[in-house]
Amino acid sequence: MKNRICYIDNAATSFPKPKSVIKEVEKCLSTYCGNAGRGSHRLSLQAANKIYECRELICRLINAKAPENIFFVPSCSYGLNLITKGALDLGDHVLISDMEHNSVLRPVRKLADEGIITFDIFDCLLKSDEEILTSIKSKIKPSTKLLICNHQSNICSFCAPICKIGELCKNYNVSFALDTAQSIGHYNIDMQEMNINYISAPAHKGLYGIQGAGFVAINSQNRLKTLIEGGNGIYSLEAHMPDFLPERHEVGTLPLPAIVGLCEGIKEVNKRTLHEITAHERNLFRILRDGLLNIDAVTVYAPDFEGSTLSFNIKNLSAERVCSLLDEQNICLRAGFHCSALGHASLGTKELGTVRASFGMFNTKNDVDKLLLAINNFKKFV
Amino acid sequence: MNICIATISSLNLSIKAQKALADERIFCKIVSLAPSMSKRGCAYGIEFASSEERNVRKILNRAGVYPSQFIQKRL
Repeated sequence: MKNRICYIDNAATSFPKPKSVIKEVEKCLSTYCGNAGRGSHRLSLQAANKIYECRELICRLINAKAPENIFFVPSCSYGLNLITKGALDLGDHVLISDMEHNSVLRPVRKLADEGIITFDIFDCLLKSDEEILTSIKSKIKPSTKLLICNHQSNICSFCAPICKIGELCKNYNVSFALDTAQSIGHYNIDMQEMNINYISAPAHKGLYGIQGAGFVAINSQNRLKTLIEGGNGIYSLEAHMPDFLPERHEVGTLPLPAIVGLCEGIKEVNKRTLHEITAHERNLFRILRDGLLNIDAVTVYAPDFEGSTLSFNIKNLSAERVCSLLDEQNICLRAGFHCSALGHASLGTKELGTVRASFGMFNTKNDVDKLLLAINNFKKFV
Repeated sequence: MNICIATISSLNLSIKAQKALADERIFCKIVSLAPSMSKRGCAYGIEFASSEERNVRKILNRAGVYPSQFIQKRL
């Protein structure tokens, strides 16, 4: 089809959504969209049961401690704020990597500006495992309470060695929080095996749900302070939030359509398997990378780290101009700094930003061919 | 029939309890607790046949759900 949209911006949000997701969201809105935790009539309980089913699926997906240790939040960024502000107290020190998204950098910076915590940044992006661990060890202090790390960069496909970081954190008695915004639904994550204390994840990226939900998983009895307080249908006569999970952190009405969408999205990912999805995305990555490397005017960043995300620039064209020209041909990619000042500083693209192509399970070789053809035709601009 | 209500408070743990019991073929119903059973306001529990109380206690213990009370009621 000539005018088919070629969507290669799955790091921003996955698109299209699986038919099963759309179908269940529609079914929810038309037949069972009650408010979970508000009374015990059938629609409220049906809603609560669907939400619990989603907790169970997530629990199995990431090998969390128990379904009740999963709680829903409005987004992955919200979850990272909750972990950061909920886990840290006055005088604590926190370590973050040099490829963190602003969802980590900004809350940490704010707490530091308020004089509540101190923080340091460890070397990670494009470094060897040994260099990363050495950098972390050199920056751990007696007051270091938490280490927050992005699993996969949102600029390129570099992944942090989370097993080794988790083990190191355990040995140093530092809690380990993982930002899985770009890795959930792509890579295997095992909270027990990898010694991960906290995970934050979005519903609408690699898990193919719709926008409006994310989740936090807590692996142990780590107690987080609440980020916001309010009604949730439990202990309504009390002025304090309940102290048990997940209700302690779930305030206000949960976004049921987004959660049932997430539920079906996870089933779709499980059906295809992480292995198959990753292999498919890597194959597309290689075709695109090799094609781009054959064009003189193109610079590809971190080409050796294969995965779902690839950043590049074209000589004499801004990233924004490239994406605008691509959009005219129905090709959707993202330009700019991708909310990651730290990552761009580490990658050496702080002045330019990049054009980012990011694959999902519905992309095809035709999408890559179309993109490469379009970029080859940019020669007239270069 | 006599019924028993296990007061759990959390709706999610009540669902967990219901699933654990269903796996052992014990039927229970999730209920909102009356103010007399929950001084702190809205809370949940499960309602089941009194004759199953001993089994229910065992199964919930295994599932990691610990009700604060088991209240007997005559219908």
